[in-house]
This record gives sequence, structure tokens and C-alpha cells, in this order.
Amino acid sequence: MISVNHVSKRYNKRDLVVKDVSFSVGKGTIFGLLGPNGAGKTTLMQMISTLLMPTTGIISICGLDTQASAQEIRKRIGFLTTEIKLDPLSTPNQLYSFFSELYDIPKEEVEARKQASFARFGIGPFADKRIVELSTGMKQKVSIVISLIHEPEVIIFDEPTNGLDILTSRQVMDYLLELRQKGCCVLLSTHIFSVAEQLCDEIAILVDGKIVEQGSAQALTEKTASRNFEEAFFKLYSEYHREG
Amino acid sequence: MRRSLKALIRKTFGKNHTMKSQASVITFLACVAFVFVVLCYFFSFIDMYIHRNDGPDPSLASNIVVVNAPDSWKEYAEERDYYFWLGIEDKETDAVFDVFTFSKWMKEYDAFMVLVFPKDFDEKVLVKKVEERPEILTFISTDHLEYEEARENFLDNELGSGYYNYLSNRLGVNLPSGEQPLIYTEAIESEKQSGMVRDRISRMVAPLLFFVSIMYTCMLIAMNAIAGEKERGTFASILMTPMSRWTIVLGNFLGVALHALIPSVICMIVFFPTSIGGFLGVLALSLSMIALMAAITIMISCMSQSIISAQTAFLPIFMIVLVACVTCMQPSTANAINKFFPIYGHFFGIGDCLMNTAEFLPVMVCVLTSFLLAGICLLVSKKLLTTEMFTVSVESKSDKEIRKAMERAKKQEKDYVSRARANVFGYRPVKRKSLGGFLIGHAALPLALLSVFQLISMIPAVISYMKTEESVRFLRMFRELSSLSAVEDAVSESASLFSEFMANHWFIFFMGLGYWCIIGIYMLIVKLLERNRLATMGFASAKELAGKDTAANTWTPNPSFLRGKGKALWRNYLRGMLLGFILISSVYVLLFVTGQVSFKGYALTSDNVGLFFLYLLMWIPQGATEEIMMRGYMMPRVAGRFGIPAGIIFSSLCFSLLHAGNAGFSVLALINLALIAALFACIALRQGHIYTVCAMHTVWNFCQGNLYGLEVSGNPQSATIFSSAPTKMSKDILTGGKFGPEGGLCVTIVIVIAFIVLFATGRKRKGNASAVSSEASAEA
Repeated sequence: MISVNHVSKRYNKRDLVVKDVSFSVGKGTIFGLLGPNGAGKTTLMQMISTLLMPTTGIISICGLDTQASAQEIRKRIGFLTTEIKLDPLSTPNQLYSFFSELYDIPKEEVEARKQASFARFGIGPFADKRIVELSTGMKQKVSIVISLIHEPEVIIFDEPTNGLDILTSRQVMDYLLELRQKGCCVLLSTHIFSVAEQLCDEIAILVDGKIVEQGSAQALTEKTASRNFEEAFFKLYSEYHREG
Repeated sequence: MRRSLKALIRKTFGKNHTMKSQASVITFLACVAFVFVVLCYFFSFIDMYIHRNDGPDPSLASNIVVVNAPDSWKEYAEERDYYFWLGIEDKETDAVFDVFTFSKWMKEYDAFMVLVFPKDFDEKVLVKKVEERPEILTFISTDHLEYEEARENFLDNELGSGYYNYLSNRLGVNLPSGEQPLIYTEAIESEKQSGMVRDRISRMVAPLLFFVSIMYTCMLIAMNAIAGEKERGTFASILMTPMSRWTIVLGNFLGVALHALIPSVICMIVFFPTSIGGFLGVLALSLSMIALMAAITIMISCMSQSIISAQTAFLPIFMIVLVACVTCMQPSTANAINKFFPIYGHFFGIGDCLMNTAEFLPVMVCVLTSFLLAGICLLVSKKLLTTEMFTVSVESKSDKEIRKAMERAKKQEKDYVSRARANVFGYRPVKRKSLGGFLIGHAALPLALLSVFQLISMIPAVISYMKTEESVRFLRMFRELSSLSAVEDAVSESASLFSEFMANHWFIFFMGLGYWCIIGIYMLIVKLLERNRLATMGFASAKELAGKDTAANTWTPNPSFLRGKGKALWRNYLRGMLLGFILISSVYVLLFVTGQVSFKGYALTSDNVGLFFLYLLMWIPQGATEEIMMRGYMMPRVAGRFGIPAGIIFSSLCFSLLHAGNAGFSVLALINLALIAALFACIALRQGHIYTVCAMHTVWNFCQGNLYGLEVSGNPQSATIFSSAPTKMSKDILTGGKFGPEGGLCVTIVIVIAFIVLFATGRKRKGNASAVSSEASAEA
């Protein structure tokens, strides 16, 4: 559903941030981008979610080109990054109704959908509190609910469990697995190995804007002859970063 | 689209929306101040409306106000029965040019003319000197032009021939036409009152209120709408929705416009247009104005990443529009072509529509042009929202900070800030300034401060001068400037006027106060703007004075009379007083011995004892101020950037040029003042503080002006203990002429000798000085 073909990105005539990246993600899979800070994960995800335009290369989602039909694509993707924040003085209820209008969700369905998703994450008791008053975990849950308000087929999550406690991140991970079951296509970036290892069907390791290796966690571990996935990552990283 | 559009509009009206828009406090205060001024203006009109007169009553309008009427006139008027058929009002005043009072009287008594006699008119007529002919001033009101004939008749026959004949008979003198008093006629502008109030309010106050309220509301809402969302990081989630960019722009635009509609509707209710055409005109104009302003603010909001940057970007536009409004108030701007342009057209259009004098075409053109411009702005905004630079923060913050820090580190290697050229009074530059700004700032600050405070303290002196008769002569001199020699006279008269002020108690008092204020301002600059210790402007603390030798400038001379045991503040000050006294006394002795001045003895009278003490009090802050400005503040700062020699030269030249406007300034004076300044600078550098030079400066000026009675840099003195006068054989090149001794060679000689003494005695202990300095640097 997501296909990225030879994509590069350059900001203001400086060095390439993303260098000739290609991969594709099919239906019902979770694809993980793993890499250190500054590897270009966020830029890549912003390009996939139509916020940025690739300097070269083509990204298509559900067969639509991100440059030509951005508006169509935005109806089908849910994008969540740590950069996107919620209006601190609004309540989850207000935000839900505001975004349901922006996404043009049929009025009759709004209430039922809201009840369902609030119940799923236990937001109900906090629905009329302001965002500033909520805990970090609750904020993240509200963000997830808001960004998936239109039930998209393609979900792009940038560091979904960053800064969350074990319980909450467990909840989020369970939810992602549930989405996979439903047949959604999930692209997530992370630098937490356990998350990548547990969740992702396929992992691409991004170092200095390049994908250096791609495959399942197990395959990668075996390929580098490491004891576990974490060691495999370090081996790959030190190998490729030195070259760069 | 319609649904999302509505949601966006509704969002701008959200309960929390306006509350959290952090309008910068200064913008808000500026607006409040502006509205306050407008309200004052408005209320002054109301006041005028209440106290106005409905124009002159034709049956009474032949009234005349006569000021300072001499006895002869009173008798003449009685004889001619003027009191019966003219309605004469007698008044007394010293201020014979006070047109404001005269026009007030004219309004009060429905008079069409004011006759102003000089005081003691009768006596003056008897003097019969051609150049001292008394003058009768007549002021006529432009409101009463219909009385022109009556006035001419009165001036020619009644006042002219009739009164003069009576006068010559009564006084028993023959007044040929060349010796008769002169009559000057002066027209006083005063506008007709009837119908003015509504007109003024409609044409000035109403459009202004429209403009200010619309612009302020647009700014408040629009800056929060997009730039605010960006700042809070919530904008990306809106961008990620399937709305088109156009919907986002339009939604926010409509929200802003609806907000701006509220104050303009209130304005419309307050200044209600009296006709349907006027109403539609005002409506169209305010709508187009709202559209234009909302579009501009939305565009700026799209460009900015934070509320503050958006407001800063909009502030110049706000100011320019306000300035345009003010220019619209000038009658000359109200020409036909300007009415077609937006802003101008809106201003005039609203006024015209309220007064029902609007024309259809200009209003229509103006409205359509603004809608067009608004459309263009919206298109640009839409384009901006598809540009990555304005939608996504492309660099993560840490990257940006690292890059900036690296750039800064690179820059600092060649930056003077990290490697000051000199360290005077412990001053270290902390901020980088451009060269031009740095030099101009240092040269302009003293000049600006001095001229402002001098002007302020001149006000009472000028007011009291304006009440004297001489002021009339003085002002007339300017009116009659016809030849070059007249201009020269006028200039020299003005200079002598200043010397007259120098004898004015109030002037001296306020000057003293002003100097204290300047000292305070400099302290605030150092403390608040630079965040430096006061010691960096030469005000070393008691601790620093008592401690080690703060001045570590190896190359400056180090004579014993500048070191000594006296580390306390007052000792340094006393030492300065003594040194200053020695210097100026040597100058005086030199002048006296060479026979340039003669000693005239004790001159202080009981009249000017008060003035003398005022002077005494004034010289203390005066000397200190000039030292603080030049040696204390400017020298360390210039030296820090360009080295000590540059600091001395620049500050000395500035000091010297500061006196360039004084009477009798010459090249020699320039050199002398610079030399004195350099001497003071060397002493201050040597000592590490400026207390001594402050005292030297004060005592120098005091002794010169109020002890020996010489001119102080071109300013003659009036309260002096002894008086001196140049002898017949005196030469300006030695005495300095009008400028005082600083303009002559005697001072040059004394200062050069002082330099020699300073360096000669200082050099002997050079080893000592370098030992001290190396010690100091080791401690540092």
C-alpha cells in the first residue's frame, strides 16, 4: 500500500537528508523504520504523509502519488508524530468534534465512533478535561484517537511509545496489532529495539539517510550472526556509519 | 468543504482563542495610548461645542479689545464716544504677542479686532527717535472678514490720523509722519465654529477609530490563528486533514473578518450615517477594509512561525497605515486622486459618506481595489501553505541550535567581543554592534541628551522672555529678514539671547537638574541595558578604590600626585578640585601677567548672590556629566573596540565638537578643548576612575566663570566674585575672544605644560607602574 521508490530529500541546498530510499509496505503488515536520531526517519515519514515533497523519487500510497493527489491521500492516512501537539486548552471532546468536522465524518456516526474509541483507550472520564491537565500517556492516547478519527487504511506513527510507561505503551502496541488484524498498513519509526522486535513484520535500518539493511528482526539477527537483535543493530550501525 | 470551513471559522471564536493570543504588551499599550489621544481629541471637540459661540452677532460685532490702553487713548476714546458705539474692552498684559490669549478675548467679547499698545506708550511717543518709534499692533480675526471696510476705516481715520492728531495736541508735540507710531496688522486664524464639530468627528475621529479597531482585531485574531497554531505545534494536525489548503486559508480569513466586523459595526452605530447612500458607502468601505486587513494579517501569519514574529512583522504595516491616516488629516492630502487608493480612499471615503459628500466612483474603485488586493494576499497565503518552509519545521530544534552554536563559535574567533582591545575601568564588550551604529550612537547620545535637557530647561526662561517687550523686537527681526546682513544680525542676536538666559535663575536651576538626569540616564544605560557594573563607567566603588591599583595601563603616566594614599572617594574629589584650581589659575595668571586681562575687583552684589549659588550647584553635575559622557562612558567602550589611543582621540574630539555650537568657536578652541579632554582622559585612565576629573572639570568651569569672571566656552557669566575684562592690548588669539580662554593660546600653553609635567613625573616611576600593572594582571 505504501511504495517508496528511490526517494531523496535535500533541505535548502544542503546535504541530502534522505538518500535514495526504496521500500514498500503491504496490506496488513507493520513496517518499522529503525535508526538513531538524525538518521532521517522523521523526514521520510513527513514525505510519506504529504507534508514534505521529495526532492527526487516517487512515493505512492494506495496507488496515488503523494505530489499529485495529496488531498486524496490525506483522507486515507493517519499520521502521528511527536511534533504534532494538541491544542492545550481544548478538551478531548471538543477536539474530537472539531476534527470530525474537518475530516467530514458523517454527523450521525460521530457520537458512536467517539464513544467506541474513547472506551477503547479509557479516555471517557477525561473527555471534558483540558489537554494541559492530562498525563503524558493520556495525551498520547488522545492524539492516537484524533489522528485515527477517520479510520484510515494507512497509519504512519512516529515514535508511538516514546515517553510512555510500560502499561500505556503496551496498550498502544496492542492497538497497533489490532489494526494489523483489521488489514491496515502500519509504518512506524522507533529507536526502541523491543518495540521493533515485537511488533514489526519487517524492519528497515536507517543510517545517515540510507537504508542499510532490511528484513524481519530474526532475519537481521541471523544475517549479522549476532546473539540478539540489539547487537545486530549496533553491528550494522558501526559498519555503515564509519563508511559515511 | 463547507463543513470544515465552518469548523475553522468557529474555532477562531472558540472560548479560549482570543484569551490565549499573546498580543505583545507594547502593541497593546501603543494602541491604548493612541485611542486615548483620539479620545482626548474627541472630547476637546465636545468641549468646544459646548462652549462655542454661534458666530458673531452682527449688531455687536463691531467690538474691539484694547490692550494696555494709554491714558491718551482712553481720553480720546471717551471724547469720540467709542465706548458708546464701538464696545471697547480694556485689557492689560505684558505679553504683546500672545495671539492665543487675544483670540480667546476676541471670541469672548465678539470682537473683530485687538489693539495692542506697548506699555508706557505716551512716554515713548515723546522720545521721538526714529528707530524707537512705538508700535501699535492690531490683530484681526479672520472670522470677521465682512468687517474689512469698517476696520480699514478705523485704522486709517480713527486710529491713524484722528488719534495721532489728538496725541500731538495733548502732548504738545508735533508728530511728522516719520515719527508717528507704526501700526502693524496681524491676522489671527480661527475657524468658524458652526457645523465644525460634526465635520471634524466624521472626517477625522470616525475613520481613525474604524482603522484602529479593524487593524487591531485583525492582528489579534489572525496572528493567533495560523502563526499561533504553528507555535503551539497544532498546525500540522490541521494540515494533515483532507481539507484543501485553500479551505484552511479561507476559513481562517473569514473567521478573522467576522471578528473585525464586530468593532466596525459598533463604530457604525456610534457614527451613524444619516443617509442610505452614506450607510451603504460606509458598509462597503469597512467591509473592503476588513477584507484587506484580514488578508494581509493572514498572509503574515502564514509566513511566521510564532505569534511574536508575526506581530513584529505586522507592526510596521500598522504604523505605516496610522501614519497614512495622520497624513489624511492634513487638508492638502484630500485631493481627488488620493480618494481612489485604498487606505487613503477608505479614510476619506468614510468621512465623506458620514458627511454625505461622497462620490460614487472613487468609493467604488477603492472598494474594488481593496477586494482585489485582499484576493491577491489570500492567493499568496495559499501558496505559502504549500511551501515546506512555512508549513513544517524542517529542522529539529536541536539541530538548529547546534548549527547556530557552531557558527557562533566560528565567528567569535575574529570577534572583538571575545578579545577586547583594551580593558578600561574593567569594561568588557558583551554584544556585537555594527561599526556605524556604534560610532554614531556614541557620538549622538551625548549630543541628543544635552540638547533635549537644555531645551527643556530653557522653557521657563523663554516664557519669561516672551513676556518682555524685547521679544517682540526679536521676533520681528526674523520676520523682516531681507538681506544677508540682517541674517547675520539675527544670528548674533540669538547668541546674545542665550547669554541672557545664562543669567536666568530658572534656567540655571533646571540645567543643574537636567545634568543630574543625564547622569541618571547613563547609570541606567550601564546598569539595565549593558548589565555592567557602575565601575565600568568610572564610578569605582569604595572597595575598588581602597584595593589594588585598578588602572593597569602600563603606558599611561603615573605621577605621584595622582596616586598617593588618598583612596577614598572624597579625597580623590578634593585632589581633583585642587588640580583644577591650579590649572585654571595658571591660565589666569598667564593672561594677567601678559597683560591680556585686567583685574576689576570684587563684583558679587547682593542681587546675584542667589544666582551665584545656583551656579555653584549647577557646575557640580555639569562637570560630572561631561566627564561621565566622554571619559566614563564613551572612552572605555571605544577603547574596548579600537584600543586606548582611539578611545582617547575619539572621546576628546567628540567632547570638543560638542562645544562647536557655542559663540566664538574656532579651530584653536577645537584643538584646546581636545587637548584638555585628552589630559583628563589620561588622568582618568591612570586612576581607574573619574572622580578626580569630575572635580577638575567642575572647578575649572566654576573658577573661570564665577571666580575670575571669564567666559566659559563661549558662555558669558553673570554672577562672579571677581570680574575681569580684556585690556586694550589684548589679542583674541591669546585670550580666545568671545569663546573664553579655551579659545586662546594661553590655555594651549598651560595644558601642554600640564602634559609635560604629567609625563615627566610619571616616567620616572615607570618601573613602578609596570610592576603594579603586572601585579594587577597576575591577580586578574
